[in-house]
Amino acid sequence: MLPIIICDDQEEYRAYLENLIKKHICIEELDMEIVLSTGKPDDVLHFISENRVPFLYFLDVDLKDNSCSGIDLASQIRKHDPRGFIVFITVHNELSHMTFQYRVEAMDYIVKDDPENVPDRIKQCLLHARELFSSKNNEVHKTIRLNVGEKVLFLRQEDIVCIQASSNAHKIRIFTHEGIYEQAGSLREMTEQLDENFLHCHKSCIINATYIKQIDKKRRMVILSNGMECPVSFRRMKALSEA
Amino acid sequence: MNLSWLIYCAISLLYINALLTNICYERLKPLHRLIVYLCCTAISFFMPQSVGIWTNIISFSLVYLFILYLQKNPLFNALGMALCYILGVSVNYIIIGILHLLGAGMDFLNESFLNYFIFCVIQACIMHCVTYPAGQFYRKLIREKLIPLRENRQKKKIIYLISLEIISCGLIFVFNVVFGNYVGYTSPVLFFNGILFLLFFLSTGIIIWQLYKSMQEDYELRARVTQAESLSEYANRLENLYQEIRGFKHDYMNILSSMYSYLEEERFDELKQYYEERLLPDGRKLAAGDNFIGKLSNMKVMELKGLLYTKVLKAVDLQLHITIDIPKAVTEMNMDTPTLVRILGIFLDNAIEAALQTSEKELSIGILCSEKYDYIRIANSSLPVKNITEIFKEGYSEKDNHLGVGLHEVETLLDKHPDALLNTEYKDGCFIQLLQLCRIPTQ
Repeated sequence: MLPIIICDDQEEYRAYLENLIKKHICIEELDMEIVLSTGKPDDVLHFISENRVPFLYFLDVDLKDNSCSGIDLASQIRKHDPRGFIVFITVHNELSHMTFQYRVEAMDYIVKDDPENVPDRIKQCLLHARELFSSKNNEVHKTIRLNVGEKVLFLRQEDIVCIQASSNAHKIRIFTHEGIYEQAGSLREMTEQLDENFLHCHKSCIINATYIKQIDKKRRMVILSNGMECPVSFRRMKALSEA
Repeated sequence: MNLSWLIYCAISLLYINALLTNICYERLKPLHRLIVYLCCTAISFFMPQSVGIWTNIISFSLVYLFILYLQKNPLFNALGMALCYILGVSVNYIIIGILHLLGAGMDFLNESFLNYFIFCVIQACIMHCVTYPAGQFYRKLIREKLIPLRENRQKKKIIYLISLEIISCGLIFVFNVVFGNYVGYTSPVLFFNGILFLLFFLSTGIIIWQLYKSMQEDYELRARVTQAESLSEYANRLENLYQEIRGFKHDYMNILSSMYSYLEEERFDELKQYYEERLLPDGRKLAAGDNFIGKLSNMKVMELKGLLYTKVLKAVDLQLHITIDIPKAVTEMNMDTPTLVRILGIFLDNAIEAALQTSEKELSIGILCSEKYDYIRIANSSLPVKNITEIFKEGYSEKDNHLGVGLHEVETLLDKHPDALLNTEYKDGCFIQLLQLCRIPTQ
């Protein structure tokens, strides 16, 4: 079960949120429950220090009664509950994607002064949190850790086409069909996380064998399904052409 | 007779690899070097003596075509060969010059086969020692200087100038040696000519280098001027905005008093009408207007502010929907500003270009500095990117409607910054560049 915490100092709005969330949990038959609904940030911090994490949080950005803003609260929460799911409730002119995403790694946000969309957004947040939560509990997909600044993302191994070492610096590039992700580190560190589908075919390159389209023995190159060409070392060429 | 001629050819051409293949766009494999050597030997062996001077020219052209077949890149390889040749011939002159000084001269070489053999081996070794490191240097120069230069339209012509210089120098050397021999110049004359040409080319080389430097300075100066212009325009807009707000303040009292009169007389319907027709549109206008100017105020790095301002203004003119998100003051970023301005400029140009082709026309700019990282996120609505791995390739932009102009340059620039990591993503109609600059150096 995923427990939910709400923190908003406007009583009426908090009641409105509670209501909406309860309704959606009921309709969608979600395995979730509101365990705490409060206007005081201290209550939240106290509660999570005594209970098992993670939680799903709905936090008001603008907590008026206290010196502690919703963003500060979220930073405090992150210390106890690094993998919890934070949803911010905000008004339009306080909306800052950069703060939400990179300072406190919020999962999503809901814009208060856009009232007709609020119910729908809440539903989306609940469903999204459930998806993330269940995938954390029973990992169907093998993943690799991806550092995006202070944030950690998980990339499915089956999506990775290949990983190359960058030409000059101590960096590697991970290629998927949707993106290119640079990471600090070496290919060797990467191999430890990867499953048997991956081949360290050259000192500068790891490929996902499922995406091999063609092997060019003459030029000692592997051509991948996205059109990339990777060099193959002499020793690996033998193993590759036999397989 | 034939055998000794073959051996003579083989020995004479020991230097050929040093002369033609050490300075290439990519390093040549030993097997290919062997092929070059054997071919050249065969050519000078089989060519009848009457062809004489053409032998060299034929061999050079064939080797060039062969390298071109292996590596493409006609310009850089031609340049490399010309450079290699110039170096090689200079070395040859110096060796012969030294021999002359020692009083040996050409007669010494013709004296015995052994003398000639030793001369050839030593000459080949020295040439290798000179051209091999020159090749390394040349490749580094291409990677770090010439390729980034080529991405920039204004600076591109300097490459042509350099090419012209080197290739004409190479050709003149070839003609000096080949036709000089043909006309019957004696070797001291050839030697003397060579030294003169070399000095001449060195001096023009220095002139071109100075030209390049002053061009670079000019370029930077112009960039600074445009930046100053955009900043002063920014200041102007800010002032206008202030005037507008002052005007509004002035109106404010009038509005309040007229509202009061409606209230006093309890004419609520008219008050409602007044609110909807007069107040609401005014308020909206004020909110929508030059909103982005205020949002840029958190950017305290002037160069970046100027750049952002220019690009945002351009995007506004093109009627893009812009979101700017700089939640905290940015006083410095962990990268030298000119590089960052260049990279951001490329990202923004691309984003604007790509967003224009979509119906959503969205552009979003986000910058955040935290304790450990700086984040720059440029996102735009985009038509599907067919293959994301292609966009950083050299010359990609020329194919696909000028999408991804200069991304190759970005890659080259970022390669020098181990603390800068770039994530590029295309998801659900949205193209995102996220640049992370680490404040704590990675181990």
